[in-house]
Amino acid sequence: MGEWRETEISYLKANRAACELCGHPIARRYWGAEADGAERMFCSPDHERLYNDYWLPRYGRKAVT
Amino acid sequence: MSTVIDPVALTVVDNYLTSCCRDMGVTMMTTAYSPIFNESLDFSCVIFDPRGNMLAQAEFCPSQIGTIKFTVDWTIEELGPDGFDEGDIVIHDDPYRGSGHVPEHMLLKPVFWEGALVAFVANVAHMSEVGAKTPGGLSGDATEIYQEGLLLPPVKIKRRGEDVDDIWKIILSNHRTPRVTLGDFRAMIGSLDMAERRIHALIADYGLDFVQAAADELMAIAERRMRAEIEAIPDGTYTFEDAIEDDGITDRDYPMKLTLTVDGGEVIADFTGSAPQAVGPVNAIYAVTASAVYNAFLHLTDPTIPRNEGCYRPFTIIAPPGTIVNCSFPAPVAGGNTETSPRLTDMIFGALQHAIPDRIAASCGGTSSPFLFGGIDPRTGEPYAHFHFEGVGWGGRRGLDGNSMVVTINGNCRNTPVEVFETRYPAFRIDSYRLVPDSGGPGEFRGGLGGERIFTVTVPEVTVSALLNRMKTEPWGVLGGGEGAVGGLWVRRAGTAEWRTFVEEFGTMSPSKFSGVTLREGDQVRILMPGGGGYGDPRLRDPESVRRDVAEGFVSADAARAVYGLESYAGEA
Repeated sequence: MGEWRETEISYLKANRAACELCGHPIARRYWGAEADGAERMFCSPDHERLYNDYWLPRYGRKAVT
Repeated sequence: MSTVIDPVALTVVDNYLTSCCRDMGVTMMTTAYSPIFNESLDFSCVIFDPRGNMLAQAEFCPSQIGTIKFTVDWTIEELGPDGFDEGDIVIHDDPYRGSGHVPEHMLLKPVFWEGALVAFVANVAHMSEVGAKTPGGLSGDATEIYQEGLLLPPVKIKRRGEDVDDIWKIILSNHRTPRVTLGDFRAMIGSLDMAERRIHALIADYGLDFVQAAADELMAIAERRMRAEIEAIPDGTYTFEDAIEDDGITDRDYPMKLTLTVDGGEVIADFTGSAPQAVGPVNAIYAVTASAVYNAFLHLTDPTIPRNEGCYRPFTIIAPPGTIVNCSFPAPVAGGNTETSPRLTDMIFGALQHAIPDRIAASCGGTSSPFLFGGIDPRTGEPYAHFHFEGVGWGGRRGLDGNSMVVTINGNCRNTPVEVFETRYPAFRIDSYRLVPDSGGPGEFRGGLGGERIFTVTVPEVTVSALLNRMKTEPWGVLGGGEGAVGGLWVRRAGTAEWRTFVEEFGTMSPSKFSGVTLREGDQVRILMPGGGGYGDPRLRDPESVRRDVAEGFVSADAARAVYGLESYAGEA
């Protein structure tokens, strides 16, 4: 079961996290959920669903970024 | 308690908000300093609710309208919902925070009513000078984002109605043309102030509860209608591939791969398999790629659907980080929004050509043809800079030939008229400007024509840069239609007779992507803009249309015979 979480915005850190499904950079708020055996960041619960229903059957497991 | 809204009142609110966005644009057009505002209309104007949902937009630049969703989202996330006060104006241009590319600056103003935040009004505009490595930005051989101009995360240039002088000083000290920058930003602020007054007037007339309920209902209607349009597309998985040619640094193609899944009222546009990000500035950031997909579907669906957040909800865009369709920091991105974006939109059409042949079009010329220049005006001693872009041929579509020499599909902008070009900038005299015969891809419905512009340097020296594409690979046709003609860029030095490429004359890596080349008085530049792809078998084209094309000079007599199979044409003995 996932939950909404927040990450810090730091001006000292250049690279930013992205949604594990779509690749959209995450500003602050994200949907954190366990998917495919790992804690992952998503834009929304819908993208967690698509990670399981769309991504995994086509491309298989994704390395956690 | 829910508010019941009759359809007439809903339509009034929708049209009021859209009209407000149009008037925001008119304000900018008529009060800004730079031709890229006055003439080109390279800006967009949008209204959002306090949660960042788009409520209305006007028909300006499609690539900006899509990206501004992400820019505003990021701004609200970064500053927080309590981070705004009445009279604030936030500025933001950072592509790695949702902007399309560095020149596009978003200004955002929160709108309050009786002390509560009730809306945001925002505009985004392409500034003609942004402090990049060369005048005008869009340096065709940039290798990192820092070379593309001053990066501004969301910061306030007005706080509670007062200018934040320190921020203004930083910006104006970094732009080569601070007077123009100041005038253009003031125009944007005036546009936001006007929109704020309009929203206050709407709430005063109808009441806040009604306006908010109407906004929610309009988004729900837009979503339902967009999903219904998508449901009319046959379910399936459709694919298409295209490529960007060279990145200004390396002479290689960057393939882009699309897998488009239509399932009921949902669309997944998946760009997995596209090339790793480029060293040079042809990378799209996520917002640009998403915007290109939205742009395609807004072309393919009912134009009367209210243009708000609901339109975008049925779409999921997958763009793997580190690729040319979603590059990672600090890759340069200037051309992603001008060159890669139209190609991505066209790829949606290409993928759906067999599923909905009545709605799609062949490839457009696919380049904004950015040609940038700047220097010191010898008449005044003041610096000047300009982002000049050109039209291209658009693709033919069922029942209609493509547009000729219209700015490419992501822009919806206008080029700079010859008279304005020559009056505002001392650097060039336009020698000729014309459509190019046979540049439109042959087809039952012909591709639009590309064009040619030749101009002469009229000052001791001027610095030029370019970031053009479709110089080698032709705009593709569909359903049996032929390819449009490619573009080109050449220089003829003063006192010589030969047109040479910039590679031959100046040793640039790319013939069409470079920066900081110095031209001198009497040198000439020739830009050739690509045509659009054709739609359908050219042998099926109405012979009268071919005869008219020959009479108008759009198609040569040879092509009329050889390509269209016309044995005789008007004027032939």
